Amino acid sequence: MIDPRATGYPGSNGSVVASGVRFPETTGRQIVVFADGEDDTAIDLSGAGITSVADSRDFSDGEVAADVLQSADATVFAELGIAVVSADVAQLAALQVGSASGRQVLSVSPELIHHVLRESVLEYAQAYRDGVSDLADHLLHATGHTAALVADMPQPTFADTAQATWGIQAVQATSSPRSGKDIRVAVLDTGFDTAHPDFAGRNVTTQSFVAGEPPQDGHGHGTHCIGTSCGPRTPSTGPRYGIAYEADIFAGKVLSNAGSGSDAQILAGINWAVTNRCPVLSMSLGADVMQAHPPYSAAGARALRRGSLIIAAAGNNADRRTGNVGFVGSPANSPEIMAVGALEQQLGIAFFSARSLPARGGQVDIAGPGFQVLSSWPLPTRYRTISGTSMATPHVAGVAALWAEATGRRGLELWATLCLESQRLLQPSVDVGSGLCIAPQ
Amino acid sequence: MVQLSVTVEDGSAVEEVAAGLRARGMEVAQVLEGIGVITGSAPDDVRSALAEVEGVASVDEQLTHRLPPPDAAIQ
Repeated sequence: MIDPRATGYPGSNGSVVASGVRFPETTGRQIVVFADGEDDTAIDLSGAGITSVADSRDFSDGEVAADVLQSADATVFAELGIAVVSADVAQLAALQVGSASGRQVLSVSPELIHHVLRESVLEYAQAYRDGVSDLADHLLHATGHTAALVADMPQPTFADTAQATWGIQAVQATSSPRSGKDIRVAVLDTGFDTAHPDFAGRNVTTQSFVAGEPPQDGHGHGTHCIGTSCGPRTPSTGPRYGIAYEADIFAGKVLSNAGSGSDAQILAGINWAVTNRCPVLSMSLGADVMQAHPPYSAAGARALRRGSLIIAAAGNNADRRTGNVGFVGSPANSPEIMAVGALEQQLGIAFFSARSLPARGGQVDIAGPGFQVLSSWPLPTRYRTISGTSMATPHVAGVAALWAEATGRRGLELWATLCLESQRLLQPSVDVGSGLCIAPQ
Repeated sequence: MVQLSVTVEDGSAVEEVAAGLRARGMEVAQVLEGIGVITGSAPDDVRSALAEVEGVASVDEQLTHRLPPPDAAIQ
């Protein structure tokens, strides 16, 4: 439930009107956070003139007694690299320049007092009622001043520019310092047009798992998805449409030129990508099957354990214009395969984007730009604009490659990173999971 | 004949399971060591026997995934 005590809404000149927020109280002491040091280097505060120090390592199980916490001038929590100190201005200055111990200080901030959030059920209900009716008045009776208030509420709208497609802007790839360098991104799809001029000079490995067909993309879908996830920073013509512009591309053809593939082909592609240590696998494909398919569930789990994150399209079987919310199909509905929903330019859910299934694994985990997405297409067409959770998926895959490069994380940790770093949206989580994927800044 | 995906249990040796499946009448096409899955085909009446091979977690009919045609607006 929304806590009405913390409701803020835009004021008339960019200010935020907050009601009922309690401002923090302090104790007068300081919390000092030290950078990671060599294993056993003690934090030694005597250089700042602080001598009455309790160190958590002097207590069994690191339990510093409560009376000691109160009476010592400083308490050092060795495992955390954090100290609580009573210090005067001169001592604080010494601490901040790191002359305390040769351990670099990351931050010094006031010790805050925290309170149990406690109130009666009646008080909560009253506050909730007042907050909701206040907001409802603004929205339902918006005239003049209040209409302006509502209009001030930020409505995101992205659009393609000459520099970059709306999706590249939305995930903040344009401002990211990362390129996906040395990160292998496997796109399992209809193959790749290796002759496309935008990919000259890139590390590209191709493999076909479709009997009788070479890796060359005879459909277009695969080239489009590789473009979104790994396209160049400056294409030969037109706006930037790709995210991990220095990633190593592993193009696995698991769908025929007619656009279809069986388990055998797709599983073979997954096996190849995992064996080749690709941290990111992008799979813009699916079957409208509600049950999680056991081989994909096993593949997803084992891939994660081996450092490969499988990212798949939630599915396009919804038509929200008629009230059909669809469902997440296979392989995205396997628990350890990340399912991606599609957003349009105002960051609302795209009308075709499938909603989470109630069963375990059937959740939409995250969302990406998936409406009117410009990307590469086999020659001579060169570029094309299409929509789908198929287009949202490589946005997430490209962003995953940037995070893999930035953090060194793989597998489940990379999954967690994508979710914690995503932009929360007002859309329900059954549609967008943790929200819009955002690139490292 | 039906196309099958056989999921191997965690900890079982994939090649040994493949041998067991062949012995029960499965035509094994791929042994995917990296992910512990075996694909191939078998006559319908053999399928239940395959599930009893030691180390088999699941026997499932293969799914087919299809994309819309290249000129479709939503893919």
